[in-house]
Amino acid sequence: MKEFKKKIFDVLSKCVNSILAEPMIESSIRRAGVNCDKLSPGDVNRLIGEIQKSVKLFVGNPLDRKNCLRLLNQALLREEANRKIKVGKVTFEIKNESDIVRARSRGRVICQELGVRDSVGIKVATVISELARNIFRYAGEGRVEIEVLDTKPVGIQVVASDNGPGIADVNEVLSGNYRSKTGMGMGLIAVRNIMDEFEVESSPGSGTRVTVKKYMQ
Amino acid sequence: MPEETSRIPISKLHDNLIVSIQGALSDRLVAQLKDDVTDRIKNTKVFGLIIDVSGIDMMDSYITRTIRDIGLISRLMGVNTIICGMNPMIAMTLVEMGLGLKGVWPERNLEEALVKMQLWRKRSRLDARRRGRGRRSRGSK
Repeated sequence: MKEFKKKIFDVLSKCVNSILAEPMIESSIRRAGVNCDKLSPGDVNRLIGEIQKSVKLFVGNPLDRKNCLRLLNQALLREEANRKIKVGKVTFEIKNESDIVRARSRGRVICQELGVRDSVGIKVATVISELARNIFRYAGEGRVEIEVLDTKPVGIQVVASDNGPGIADVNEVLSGNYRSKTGMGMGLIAVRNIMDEFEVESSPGSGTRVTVKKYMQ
Repeated sequence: MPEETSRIPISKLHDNLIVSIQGALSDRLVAQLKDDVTDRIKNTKVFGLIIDVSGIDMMDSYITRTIRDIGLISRLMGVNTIICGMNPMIAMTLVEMGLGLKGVWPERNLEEALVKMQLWRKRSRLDARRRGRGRRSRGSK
């Protein structure tokens, strides 16, 4: 990612002394804790944030400072435009409670790396938690797959599947009349409410498979 | 499964119990919190319970329900409950999911929650005095 560094350097050297620009970038990289050879979109955001901090520290003149931040923002936007989204799939085996926490934390990190709004990240994490808990409670074990879809706008898909007892009447559960002992009896309804696409395949004895999708506008 | 021994700390400040929830919650941790809070309420003389959720990473239906339950149980035991520090993103998600914290008083942050508690406390003392006076005056007649 030499070019990216050079791009930032070009921007900075317009506003500050070029002797100062180099260490500013280096220290920002160190503080952001990113690897410059492979930057994820989330890393870029963090790095730009750190650089903005040091600009605020070193550029005294308010007009210069404003100008510099504006140029940095432009550079970031350009970077975002030609960002390549890594399409991939992660699978989590759900066997105990800590797996639920692990799966949902990972879901949130994936969203952060995609560089989407934090509210979407929280929604995805909530949905993963909800589905993983259902697996743990009712089927004992199963798996959750988190997949980044190569669509436009980019989507994230969560598939939760198990070989448990299954749901006898999916429509009844989704109608809101059903109340479970452990939750609000609304887990699946809640999931349906915050996701863009929602699908349940289940019959008694053959397990359950829930597929949800969320698109990042 | 490695046995988790961590618990959510409950601290006492003046007449209030303060529970500050930080980081990722496992189901076991929230269930433990419910037991711990009721235990503390039983064993210590407190007026209010403040649950600060500003550090929570996300809230799903189970966690929401448990926190609401803690509030309702405390009310039944005669302790006022305030929930404070709700993250806007989490609030948004909860509303869209159709979940709420009905029955628990919300406040913006810990500071305002403490002020509110003080106000309630003052009012309840006043009420008690007024009631006491009324009884005495009836008694003298």
